Amino acid sequence: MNERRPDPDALLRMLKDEEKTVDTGVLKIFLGMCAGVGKTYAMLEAAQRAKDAGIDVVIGVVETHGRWETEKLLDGLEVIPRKSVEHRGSSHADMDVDAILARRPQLVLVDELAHTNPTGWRHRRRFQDIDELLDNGINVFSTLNVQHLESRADDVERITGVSVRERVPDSVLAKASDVEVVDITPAELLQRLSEGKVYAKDRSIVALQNFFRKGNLVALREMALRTTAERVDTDLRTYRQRYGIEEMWPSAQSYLVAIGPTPHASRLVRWTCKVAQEHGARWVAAIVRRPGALSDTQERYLQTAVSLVEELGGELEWIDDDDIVNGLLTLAHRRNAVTIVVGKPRRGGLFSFVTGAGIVSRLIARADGIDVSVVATENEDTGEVKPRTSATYPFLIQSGPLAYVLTIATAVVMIGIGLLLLPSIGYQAVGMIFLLYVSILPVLAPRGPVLVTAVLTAGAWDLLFIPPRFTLTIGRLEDQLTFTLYFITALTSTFLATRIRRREEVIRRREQRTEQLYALATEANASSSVTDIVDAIVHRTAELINADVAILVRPEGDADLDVLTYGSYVPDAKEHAVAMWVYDHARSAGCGTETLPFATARYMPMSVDDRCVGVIGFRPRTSKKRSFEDPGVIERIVRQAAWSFERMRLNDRVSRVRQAEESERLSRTILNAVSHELRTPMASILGSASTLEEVLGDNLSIDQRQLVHDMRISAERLDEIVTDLLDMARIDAGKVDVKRQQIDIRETLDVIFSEFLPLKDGRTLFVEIDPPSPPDIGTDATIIRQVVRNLVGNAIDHTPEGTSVSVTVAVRETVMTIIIDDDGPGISTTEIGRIFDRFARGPRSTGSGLGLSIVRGLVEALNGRIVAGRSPMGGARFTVTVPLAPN
Amino acid sequence: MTQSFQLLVVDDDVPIRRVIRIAAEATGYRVEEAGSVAEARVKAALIQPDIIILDLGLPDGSGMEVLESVRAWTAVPILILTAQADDAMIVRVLDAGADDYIVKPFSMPALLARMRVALRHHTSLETGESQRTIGPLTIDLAAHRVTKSGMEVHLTSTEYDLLALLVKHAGRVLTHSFILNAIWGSADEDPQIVRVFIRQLRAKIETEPAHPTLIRTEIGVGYRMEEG
Repeated sequence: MNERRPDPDALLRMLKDEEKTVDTGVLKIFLGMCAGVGKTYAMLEAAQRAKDAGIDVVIGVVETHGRWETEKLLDGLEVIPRKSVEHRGSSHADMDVDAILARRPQLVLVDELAHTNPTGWRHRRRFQDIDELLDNGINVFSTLNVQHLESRADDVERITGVSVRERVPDSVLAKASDVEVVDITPAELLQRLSEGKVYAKDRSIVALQNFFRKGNLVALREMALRTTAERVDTDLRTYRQRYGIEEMWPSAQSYLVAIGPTPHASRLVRWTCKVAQEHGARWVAAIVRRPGALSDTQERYLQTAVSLVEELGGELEWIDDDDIVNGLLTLAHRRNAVTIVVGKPRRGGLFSFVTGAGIVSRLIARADGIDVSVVATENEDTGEVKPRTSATYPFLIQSGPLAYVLTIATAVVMIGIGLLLLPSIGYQAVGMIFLLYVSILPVLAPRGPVLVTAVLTAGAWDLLFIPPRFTLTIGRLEDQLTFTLYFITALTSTFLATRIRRREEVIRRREQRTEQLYALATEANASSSVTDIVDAIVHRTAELINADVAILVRPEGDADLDVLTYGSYVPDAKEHAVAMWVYDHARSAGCGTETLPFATARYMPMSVDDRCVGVIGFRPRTSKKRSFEDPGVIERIVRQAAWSFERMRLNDRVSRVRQAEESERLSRTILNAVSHELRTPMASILGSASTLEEVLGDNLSIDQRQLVHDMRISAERLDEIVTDLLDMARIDAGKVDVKRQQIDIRETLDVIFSEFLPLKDGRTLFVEIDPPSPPDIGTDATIIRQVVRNLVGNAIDHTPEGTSVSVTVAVRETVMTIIIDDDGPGISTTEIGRIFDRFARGPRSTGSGLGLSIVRGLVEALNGRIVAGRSPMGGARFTVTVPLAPN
Repeated sequence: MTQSFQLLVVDDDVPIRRVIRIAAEATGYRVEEAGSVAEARVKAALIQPDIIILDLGLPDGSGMEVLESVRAWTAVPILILTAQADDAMIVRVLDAGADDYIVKPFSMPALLARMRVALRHHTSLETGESQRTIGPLTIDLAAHRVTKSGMEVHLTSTEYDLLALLVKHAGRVLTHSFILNAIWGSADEDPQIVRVFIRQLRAKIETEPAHPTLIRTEIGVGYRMEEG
């Protein structure tokens, strides 16, 4: 009856949640890949901003590691002095939680969340201190390196070979209402390290050897970004779902703007946004990162531009390519850009290749089918686009026939210069100049042209310079030696330079891969529909491994239904069979594996907790091998796909459960309402009739009394029918409440039978209980009463006068059997099959015709069974068997 | 009926109130009616009824609210009318202090009989008669003596306490938790203990312990002692 009232539990929960936001503090974590990325700096900056906004900020503990840039930010912030505690003769100072609690600031800064407190402190770990502060309603800013997270620590140990001791549970991250990733590139970090900005000089060496290898840093950065992506995008997803924000970019074309740490970056971003919006296209800002640390001013320029991009709704990409032109063009193709926007270089002239004028020209020269817009920057107020056409000599020599022409031409010039210098400096000095040139060249040009140059200059030196000149003969032993060394040097430096470049290439690709995987995680987690997830996977897979994707998922609930297929290609019948094999065996198969290698694609199971949630197929777009050369990437894509689909499935299930609960609530409401609404008028009819007949009956005529009597009997029968209908509805809705208790079956039966006494029309009722004094049994007395009463009532109502009814109850350890026999006419063979059906009414029945189906429903609610048959007494027999709950 | 009792009928259904009024007035009650929780509280305080008939489903709340607020200041007999014959709810209203319950739809003679029982029990508590006779059984509450057809029945002290409790509330259903509270001082005891003692008691006082006629079982609710 109270169904429309709000659920009190829900109200209570809501109140508690509200209380929570009022009473407990908010935690913000600045997360970094490792020490030295600037977490403390970022935290202090945020604190200064909070202070400017009038918030009461104090410093609980901050480690500046003597970095003066960081120390500068402490200015104006109140510091709670550390507390010292003596332990076994030595003294330790650490954060004073009690002093902070007494001071009650709105916000406290607590550096290094993973820190372990000295012995004798209240909490063993600093994050427990933070918990206490939060519980007391104080907001906390803290910093954390990704390697300290429990779930990441093992990976970090494996990658870096350095053991991680101070670990914190991942739940710390979940507790934070905000996680800000402090991200710089490994190159920048190494630069900062070498400048001594991270550790004091002496520690720096050890740290460098152990930890700060570029390979390690790339892996750690990937980890930090992914950790944040997983978290941040849950927030984003909730936000988008809550406000129903849909995907907003209809057009596939885009504008690409390249920005760097310059004062003009913001202007470029605004310009691009405006133009892109006019064309209804999306736009991407590519941040060009170059090696070397940025100055504070530069950092600020970049930060402003980045937040502007986010504010204006652009997308961010990073270019770490040493060759900016190459990086920009690759990105432009990848993002289907129609226009690349760059800033106009500040000045041309002698150093133009250093400041970037060369970049613009090379960009224009190589941008096939892509417009290049050069936007005026300093002191030019018009936003006019001036396409540049003049090309300058590319500084970095690219491979191809041109490279040979260029290097040979340079070599010829060098030889000419050598000939001019020969009289004044001698042939040996000229040889040194050639050698210098050949050892520098590998940095600038590919191996082929370098070798050609080496042979060319060596030959020219031998032929034109070494006496005897114009012969290949080398007279003096030391010249022979120099000549040999010349070749060795040229080959070695070529070899080394190639190796370095290759390694750079690997690192560059790895960074790109990291960003792609990060983007995949971001997009997939932010999606709220299967189509979005599939789009993200298809798109990112194409970029990561240049392959098409097919995803096969079995619809939940019914194994016989057809498998649903998503993705960028549809497997044919043969491929489908391979995919289904993978589904059933939860093992990879297809191209590039040992199983069914003839397939054109590789199929892998998408597993979550050892359960296969679907199959994903990768079909290479070009050469087969290239797509599968990096199993780590495929592994990640598969895992991401598996988790995203699992998430969708769980979401689905949650909403389905909610629907079921809603309909259950509704049916219960209807049952209650109906039973109340029907009983009230019935009570009035029956009450009035019985009052007339039995209380005021003396004033009525005989006819009137007869009519009132009939009225009462009919009302009683109607009530029985209504009760039956409601019982039936309750059984159908599965709403039979079963409350098993220890009961005395003899006592229960006695109560039931007393209701039938005295028996009418000479009938007799025999009861036999085996054993005569049975132990207590565990069952629901109310249900047993209704079952036995209905069956006995049935036996009495459906038989002629003078019939005997016999009830035999056998109680055994785990089961009770109740047999009801009569010596009446029995049940005909045609009737027996449908006797428990609804409205199957016997010839003498006056009830609803639901009695026996209710009995069966109740018996089944007790997990029991009922059968009808012929009694040895000649009439009908009903046998009820119910399991008993253990004592 | 020597005196005229004041009855308060609380139900939101006018025809029900009317039929109860007619039947009750015909048997000598004075009747007042109330149709809501608020009205019931006011009338109960104003007219100080001798007995209350209370429906659980009221437009502005539950009859439970009336039951609780009235029980806070008076021991007047209260009969609950309910459309749902749900054991758990019946136990709840009885534990909250209702004297008896009757499930809708009901026949008028049954309701009138229940009213008489409740009133008699109430007045007998007030007059403090010490000697009670139920069937062949005579209980002298002052002397702690029980005789059956003139023969003395020997009871343990717990058995006697239990019997005395049932006799004092003869005609009323006593829930398991009510009995536990009264005899063992705590409702947290295992309700099985009540059944054990009822069985022992029946063996000593019932003529045919397997088919008890003095102490009746109300399945799922509790026990009721027959009257007179």
